[in-house]
Amino acid sequence: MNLSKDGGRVAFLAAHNSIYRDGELYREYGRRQVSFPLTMSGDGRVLAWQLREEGDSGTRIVVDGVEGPLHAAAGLPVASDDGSAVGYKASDREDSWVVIVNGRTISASFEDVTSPAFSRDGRVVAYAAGGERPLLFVGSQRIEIPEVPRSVFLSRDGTAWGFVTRTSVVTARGSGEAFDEIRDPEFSPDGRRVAYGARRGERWFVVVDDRVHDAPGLVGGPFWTEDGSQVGYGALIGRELWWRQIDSP
Amino acid sequence: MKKSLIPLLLLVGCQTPSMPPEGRRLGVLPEGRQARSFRFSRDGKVAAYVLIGAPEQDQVVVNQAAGRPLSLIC
Repeated sequence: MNLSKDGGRVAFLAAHNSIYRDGELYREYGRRQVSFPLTMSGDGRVLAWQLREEGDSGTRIVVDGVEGPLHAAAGLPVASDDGSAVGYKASDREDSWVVIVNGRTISASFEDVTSPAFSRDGRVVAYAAGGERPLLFVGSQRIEIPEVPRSVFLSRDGTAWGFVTRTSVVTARGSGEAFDEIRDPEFSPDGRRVAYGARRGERWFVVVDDRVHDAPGLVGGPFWTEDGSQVGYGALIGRELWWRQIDSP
Repeated sequence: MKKSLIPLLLLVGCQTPSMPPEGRRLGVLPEGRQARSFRFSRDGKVAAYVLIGAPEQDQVVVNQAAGRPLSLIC
């Protein structure tokens, strides 16, 4: 299920490959398979999804109901916060992946690539690619990295980059602590700090730079407040749903 | 009451609500039901989740308002 960042718009996938948007049936595909999760821009204006053709004959990305070209394989779509950019990774032959943004191929072909990440306005794109020398591409920058990560993320203005490996979050300042699971890394509004959810065993935490805060029952976030002074997250404690905030001076 | 006192009284009476240390409670799941796919607005004022049907159909709940039942919501 998807919720816009202001909570005003909601979309979800239901049975029979039917997509609901703001409470109404939006598209229904019957036997063509829609993958979850759907993708919604932060402002809720753009909704995108991955659609697999019958008989596994290919995959395409659909944006607001408009079907893109067919590929042999494709990753889930990613949208910028303002909905101006929608991108995904795609492959049309073995061991050959590219990154496509707004219908245009923006990368060379690689053995392996991550899904793209965008600055808030969609103007800066980042992705990582594998091969003999794994590389992180951030706009026009090329940065050597030790391995192809699971995902890449950017600050709002695209000047700060980060990526998530199997166990940790890495930024230009170095690697964070190792955890069993990482979720939702996000730079502070000024791009100087990073917060993310992390699990070790059964325990959940919210990590802000190198400070680890207990976050029992974490089920959503973390999100920075607009002034960058706090990090909020949602928690399910028993049957009660809570919103909590951690000071981050 | 003098008009000049009214703004002061309003200021004193209206304190900016602060979040208690434990946070802000957004809702309670119905007894005997489970939920998944929790989503929150950035300011934590809106919470949405899927109430799992068992054996009834799933429902999307937004700020405690449940939508109509549907089969298998993701």
